Amino acid sequence: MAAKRDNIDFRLYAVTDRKVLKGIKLEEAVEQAILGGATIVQVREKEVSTLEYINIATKVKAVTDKFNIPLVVNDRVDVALAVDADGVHVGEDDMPVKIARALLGSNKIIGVSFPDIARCYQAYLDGADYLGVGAVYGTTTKPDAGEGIGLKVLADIKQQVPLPVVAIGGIGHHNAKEALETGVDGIAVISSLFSGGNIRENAERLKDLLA
Amino acid sequence: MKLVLVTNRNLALKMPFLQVIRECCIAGINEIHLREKDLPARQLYELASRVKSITAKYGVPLVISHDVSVALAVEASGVHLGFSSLPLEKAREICSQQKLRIGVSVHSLSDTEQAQGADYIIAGHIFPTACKEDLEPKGTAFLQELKKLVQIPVIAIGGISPENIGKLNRLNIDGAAIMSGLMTAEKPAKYVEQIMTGLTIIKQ
Repeated sequence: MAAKRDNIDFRLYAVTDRKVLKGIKLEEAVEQAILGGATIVQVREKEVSTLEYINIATKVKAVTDKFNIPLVVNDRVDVALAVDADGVHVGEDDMPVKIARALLGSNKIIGVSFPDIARCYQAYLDGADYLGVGAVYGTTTKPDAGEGIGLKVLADIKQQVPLPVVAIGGIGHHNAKEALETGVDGIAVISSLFSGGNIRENAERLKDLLA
Repeated sequence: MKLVLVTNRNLALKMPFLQVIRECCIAGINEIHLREKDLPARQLYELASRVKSITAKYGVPLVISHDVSVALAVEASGVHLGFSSLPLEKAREICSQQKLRIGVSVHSLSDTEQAQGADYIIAGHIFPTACKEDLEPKGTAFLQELKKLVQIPVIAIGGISPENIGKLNRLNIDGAAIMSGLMTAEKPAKYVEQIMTGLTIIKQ
């Protein structure tokens, strides 16, 4: 398959969370999100074994591959390698960007999240492809994220680091527009996509705001 | 028979963790397995880099438990997998360029099925140990059965000490791995010597 690292469409970045799904399989949820317009998918698991993570990511990848949508694995370079994902998203506790790049090679996508601009910029120098910045607002899926950094900081990071920025954290239909107006390249959503109602319609409504 | 240190930095209360590593290297340990299950990837990578700088100096092979990406990142000699790690064939695929040795833990004879394709197995626990108080030790008979079943090297683990190491001598196994005994020793180097006195060591 051709490298997906170029021209990545970050507009509607779907981040998975099995805990918010109501009686639907993760891979079905991801398919609905893609059918509704999700442009990139991140599989995000926090409390599973490596083997379980691989099994979950493999199922999700079957869906993303079917629609030729990039799949990024949260946190774990080893899992990304094992399932041959299109990329990995790393933060403070994960493998350094340079090492991740060395292990994954030049065709894979590497996203990063760091709490300060200096490290975001360093990540750019080290070979990252995009930044996940947040939490923009307070969010229920990441209780330790606090009140959120707000739009001003989001705009600052977008201006100061020459990488695509995906805004994350508490973003939904009611505030996606104002987040985008900061100049970011996409919004990452968990709850507003997966936690209630019809996932495909949730995605479509979000996608309309991003047009 | 080779002597392997399996680490658990949380047990190293008598001296700094890296000093235990260094003492074991100086005393002639044959291999070190960095097994720090509770560390996230970055911390494990950073610790592994520091450990590697010591083991490399003494020419002691370093094996990383569980995380193949860290093993590759620090150019370890091998990676050791448990049954909740990534599957052996996946690990083999990912590690193909660096030719890492891949080992698997085995706790029963039936586990050997999942060890197919591995370069060696670690089998235990053999003697009673504080790490696995609620589980019955397998005893040396388990090792003998294993040796009949598999062709790859078998390394015994679990409660091995200078007092009982002699019981492993006649079993034709390939190594002994020690965690608590070494991590909690007042003098790890001395402990290595005591173990080795009880072992027939063939240097690699």
